[in-house]
Amino acid sequence: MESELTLAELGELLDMQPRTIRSYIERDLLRGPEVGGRGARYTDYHVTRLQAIRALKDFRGLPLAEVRRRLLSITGPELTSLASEGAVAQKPGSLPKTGSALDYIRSLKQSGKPESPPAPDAESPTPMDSVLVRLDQLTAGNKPQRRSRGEVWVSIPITPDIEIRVRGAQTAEQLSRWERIADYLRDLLMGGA
Amino acid sequence: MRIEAKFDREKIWYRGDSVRYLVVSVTDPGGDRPPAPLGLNIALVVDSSGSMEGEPLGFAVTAAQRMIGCLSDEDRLSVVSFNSDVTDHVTAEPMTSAGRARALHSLGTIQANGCTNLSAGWLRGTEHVAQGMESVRASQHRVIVLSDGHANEGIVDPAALALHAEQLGLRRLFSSSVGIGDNYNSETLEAIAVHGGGTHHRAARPHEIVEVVTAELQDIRRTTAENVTVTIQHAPGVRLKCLNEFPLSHDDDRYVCNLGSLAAGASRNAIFSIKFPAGDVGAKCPFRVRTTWRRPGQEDVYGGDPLLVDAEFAEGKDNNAQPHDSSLTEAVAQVWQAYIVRRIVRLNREGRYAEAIKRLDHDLPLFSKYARNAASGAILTAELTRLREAASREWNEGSRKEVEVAMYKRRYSRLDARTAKPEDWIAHATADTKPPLP
Repeated sequence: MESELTLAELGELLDMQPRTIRSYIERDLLRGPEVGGRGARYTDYHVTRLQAIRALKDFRGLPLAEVRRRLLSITGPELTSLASEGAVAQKPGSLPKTGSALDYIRSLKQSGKPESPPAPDAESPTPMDSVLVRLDQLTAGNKPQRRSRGEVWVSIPITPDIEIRVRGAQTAEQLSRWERIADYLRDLLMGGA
Repeated sequence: MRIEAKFDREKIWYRGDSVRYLVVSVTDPGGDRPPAPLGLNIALVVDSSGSMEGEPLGFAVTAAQRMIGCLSDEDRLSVVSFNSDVTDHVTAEPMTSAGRARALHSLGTIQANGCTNLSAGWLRGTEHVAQGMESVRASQHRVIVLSDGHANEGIVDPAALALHAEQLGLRRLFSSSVGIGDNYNSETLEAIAVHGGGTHHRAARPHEIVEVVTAELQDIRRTTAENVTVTIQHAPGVRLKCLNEFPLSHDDDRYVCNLGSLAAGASRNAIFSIKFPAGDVGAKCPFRVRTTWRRPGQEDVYGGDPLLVDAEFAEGKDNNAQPHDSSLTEAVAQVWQAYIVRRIVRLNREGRYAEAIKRLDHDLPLFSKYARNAASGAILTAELTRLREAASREWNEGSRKEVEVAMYKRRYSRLDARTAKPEDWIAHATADTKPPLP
């Protein structure tokens, strides 16, 4: 079962000031509590997200705007990996205590090297494209009939955390429009042109 | 090394939730110092952001010149300045007459401008010292960082800087810090020094930079123990926190507390607040306290014999009737007051006056009840009462810094290296406040 924490408990768990967490929420680095008001509760989502923020901000020295930009485009596994980095860094006892001071500084410089953001390449096939190509090959081009489920919802992803959901079957042209809207929103959210 | 561990009161209520204070006192009489003084491997890291222009930077350069004058052939010095960028002025330069001349010449190139990337400057200084460590093992390795502002680029979280300072300290590369003027980030600079096994200094006026850097150099030369660590093994159900706020980690059944470095003749009192579970009347709740340290320039880890201290579960009447150890109660009350005051300073800085008053209203009766058994208990309580009156007003930042540094010195048993000793902390907290807020 997913844990539910108060703001104070979340701050204590992560050794982070509640006001810092609130400011991250205000800056859209993570979403607010699941339930608002006095009974506000925070979940594993917040723990992971805050640990990833710690890793990007404190250990890679990135400004908050850049942290936000990276979080918008990050994948689930990348987020988990960053969160682990933040969690390890939070607990001094769990860091390796071997090696010279020079080794430590070098490893810190290595981990702190800002990563270049991936270059946008619209022409590159996505992993989903590859799966579809493989399935087409397996079925020798005989596309299966799409089954109706009474109510159809179409999801158009914007970022790993945000999507547009549209009720009802969409034509290819409509889908193309939704995808263009998603592209605009993604650009806006990520501070692009 | 002289080590003592004792509870302020040994009996605890058998129904649980008693709080007692364990005082671990570590003194190095200095009798078994290394036979010959060791060479120093030091980096001076100077903030050269725009706000340092003029006297602050001038006196920082004077402090560096004075330091160069005090170093000899077997010592190495690196000088780094930082603003938005980091500049190396000298890199692990042996302080021969030629090296000293090169170092003195290089100081003339420090220019003030830009922002404050403290982490980049500090880490560059540690890197130079770390490189020096590879070639000169039998030395004392230290970085002294001087800053007058808030880090606004690079790693800015005090917890992150504390982590790195602690990790480098475990590798025997220690860090000290000097806060200049009234606008430095005390949280960041204290974190670097406390976790980095060094000392935090305040230079309120520019000329004091020279005084505290010179004193720091003397302190490094007098260091006889590094990585002084107290390990407390305890029974299940016990909860412990360090009232001085020395770095503390918890691992299964033991707490490990890092007291940093110790100079000949110096003492550290680590005070642990311990909350006990319930237990059978007459049963003991045992603690095993062991202190370890290293001698500068030596690889061996020394350790005192483990000290065994017990608390005993007792009926309410026996628990209430037990006497207080007056000298330990005094030590606890002094540090407890510093613990409370430090929090009030931070709340005042954040403008959270109502919360400060609420906290004092909670803490004062508890403190007063405890401190009445201490020799200076009445004075300490009266000071907190005066603090309560001032807590609803915005304090001058210089006053906050003076109060903060006074509490730092008390918590970590450090002396103020400034020639002109500051007023009592309570005078700063109460007399120099701004008018009440509307």
